[in-house]
Amino acid sequence: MPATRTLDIASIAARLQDETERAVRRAINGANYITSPAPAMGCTPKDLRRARGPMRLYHYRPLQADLYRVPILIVMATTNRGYILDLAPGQSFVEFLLGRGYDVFMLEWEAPRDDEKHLDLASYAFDFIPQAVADVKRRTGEPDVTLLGYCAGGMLSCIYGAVHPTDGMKNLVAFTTPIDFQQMALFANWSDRRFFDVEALVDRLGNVPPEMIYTSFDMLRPAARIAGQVRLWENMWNDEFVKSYRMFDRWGVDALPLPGAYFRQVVEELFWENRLARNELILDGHLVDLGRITAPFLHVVAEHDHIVPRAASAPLIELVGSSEKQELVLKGGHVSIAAGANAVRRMWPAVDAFLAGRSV
Amino acid sequence: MAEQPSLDPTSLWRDMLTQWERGLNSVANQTMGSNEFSRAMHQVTALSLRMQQTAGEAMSKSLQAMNLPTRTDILALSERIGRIEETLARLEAALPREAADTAKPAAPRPPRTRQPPTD
Repeated sequence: MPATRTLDIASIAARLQDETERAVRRAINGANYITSPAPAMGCTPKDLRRARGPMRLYHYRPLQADLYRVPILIVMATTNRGYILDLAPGQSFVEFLLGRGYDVFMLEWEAPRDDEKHLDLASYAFDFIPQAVADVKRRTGEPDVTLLGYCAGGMLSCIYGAVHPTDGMKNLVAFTTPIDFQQMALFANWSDRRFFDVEALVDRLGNVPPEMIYTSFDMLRPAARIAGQVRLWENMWNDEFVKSYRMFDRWGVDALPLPGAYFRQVVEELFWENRLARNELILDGHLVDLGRITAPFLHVVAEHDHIVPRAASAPLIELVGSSEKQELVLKGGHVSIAAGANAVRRMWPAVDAFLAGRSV
Repeated sequence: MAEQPSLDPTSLWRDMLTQWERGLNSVANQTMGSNEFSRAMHQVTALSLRMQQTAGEAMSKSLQAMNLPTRTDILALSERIGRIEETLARLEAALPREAADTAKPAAPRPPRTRQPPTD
């Protein structure tokens, strides 16, 4: 029989008591929220292995007595910090991988300096990533590496894999990777060549400031920030909610500037000409033909991704030439797919299931 | 028997907030997806860049008049420090492995013999 709700004096009294307790907790936590720093993130122990330009290669300390033979190199998106994949104990993809016995490295990025405005897609895909792969091979003594890229990190890993398919890429895992830029409708409209003088912008600014990056992400869902703050107040009594909100909120606004040349190439080659989806992108004289990727491939996409919509990432699975390839479509958005509750329950175990047998 | 409608005011409030958020996002996305919006956005950006350039030039002249370093001077210094750091990193990388290992003994790494669980 379906449940029914009854309105009686006892339930109203209990409800009032709950609300009073929550109001008190709200006031206490509200005061704490204003006066305390954001929770620490990215705390899984690691060692810096290389710092060159904006490139930072970290090696996480192992958690298991024996490791899978093939190390994992996580390639982070160029617009955001890597700690989204290492939020807090129990909410860390990195910690999960270490716990399952993988040897984990992360290639993440610092803000490019003004004199690094010339860095472009090729600098990242054909210089920084190969350097990191070589470092991982040298450190581990292994001839091959699993690449795992998040968002633009996935795109750069695919570009690298398409041009260097025999360079020891054992497996490739990409999360929410943009390929068909015409399907990112609002971004495509905002970068319309009739109105957007990207050359003048880059000439004037050098590097594209982080405020422009996160404002453009915010504009995709303009009501989300206000609604989020209302929900925060409503749930201020809930310590876990507040902690989680603060972590995701901090990450969202902690965007990185993009080198001018990189930004210009993304606009001109990817948004205007959509060359990556058409297998026509040429970088440093190399044709980026995604069909040349032959490593076992897993693409994880989010059903409700508002930054890289499903249609923008969907063509990748067809374009990649691997004979072993899988696509995993999960409920969730661009960020929650990597670090939310659904990630912990479904995405992380799925990645482990895909990699375990292919990492020996 | 049908479920009775919820009498929980906080639940109603949450539903209203969600509806408001979806509605506003939808309307805003339609507006921002238009050519007019894109044109206006870039006109504002171009104007802002011109103003920034003018203010920057005026500030540079003032700083030079006061014999103080301008942003360009600071950036030039930053570039030189960056080059020195890169040279140091190259020298460090070129040091013989043995010397580096003696200076900082590496912790023993676990064997790479793990096998996937069988179930």
